[in-house]
Amino acid sequence: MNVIIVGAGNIGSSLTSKLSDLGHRITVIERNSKAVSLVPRGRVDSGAITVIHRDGSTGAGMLEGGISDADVFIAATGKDSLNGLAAQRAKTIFGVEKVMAVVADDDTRILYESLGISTINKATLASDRLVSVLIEEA
Amino acid sequence: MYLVIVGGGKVGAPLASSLINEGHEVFVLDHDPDVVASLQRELGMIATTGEATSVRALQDAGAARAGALIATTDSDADNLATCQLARTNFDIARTIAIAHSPENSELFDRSGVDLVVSATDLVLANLTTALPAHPLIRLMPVADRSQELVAIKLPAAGTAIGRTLSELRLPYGTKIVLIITAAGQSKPPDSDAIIETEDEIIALSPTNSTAELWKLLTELR
Repeated sequence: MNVIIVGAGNIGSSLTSKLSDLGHRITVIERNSKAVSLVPRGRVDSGAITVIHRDGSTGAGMLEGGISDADVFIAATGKDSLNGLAAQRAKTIFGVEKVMAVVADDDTRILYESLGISTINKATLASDRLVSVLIEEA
Repeated sequence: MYLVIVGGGKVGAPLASSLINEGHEVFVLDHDPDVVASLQRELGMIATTGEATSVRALQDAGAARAGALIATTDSDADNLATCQLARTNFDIARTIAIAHSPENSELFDRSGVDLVVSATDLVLANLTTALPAHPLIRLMPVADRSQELVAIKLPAAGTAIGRTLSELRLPYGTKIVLIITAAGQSKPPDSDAIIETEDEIIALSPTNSTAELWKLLTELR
């Protein structure tokens, strides 16, 4: 699948690595050129991951990231409302089927879920990981 | 009416003050304690500190009993989120938001914001009106801004001069309301009315067709 991920912070980069491991084609859109150090360098060099330095919440940034061919759009910046705006643009304006947003606030998570946006919760992600580690160890 | 304004900055503060003068009950929410302190000094205890996207803060600001919420922060993302949170959590009757980026006007509109104020459109409308050549004056928005009443002054050597109204290919939905001649006489906008030099045309125009109408009427030979 073609996956666009906006934001290359901790969550964006870790999602990038995992989805790339599964064989998906990833385009990371990150405004700050210094903030992509967590994206696996080798995959970028081999072309499996594309990195674009634009504002991925804007229509122009999304188009440059190939939104018209995207199967999945994930907004993973550090700001809930920006992730919500970007996800709604991807869904409403560009018609992307599967749209996800990283959200920290619980009320905001409920709002976006009600709009058909899947949410990824920072805290839940961490606790899920903890639980799976504990289960593996047990 | 009780109104919640989110964002007490360049737009929110003067808006609060003018709505209070009009007799409304107003409460302002802003994340910056300095902004809140300054509003309290000038307008009384009508502001509180809190995040635009926090349901708790919206509740503290009285969103549950507000007739409308107006989002005026510098962030389009926050303006959209605060309107949507207010709508879903407090069933607020009317949400109004500023869209700083032009592309966000459509998105806000389609995302359930009741009234979108495009900052760019406002500036452009004022600039267009201020330009001396072929003036376009936006007289009044109509029907939730989907249409507008405009006045367009025709140039002396325009391609429209000498033609009848029916010969002009007006944009779909445009209604000519009145024609005012250079001498200040009005003439009815019948289909056989002939356009003359320096006529001023008053039209009811679908907002997204106004630029096309203006171009059609002011195109030079």
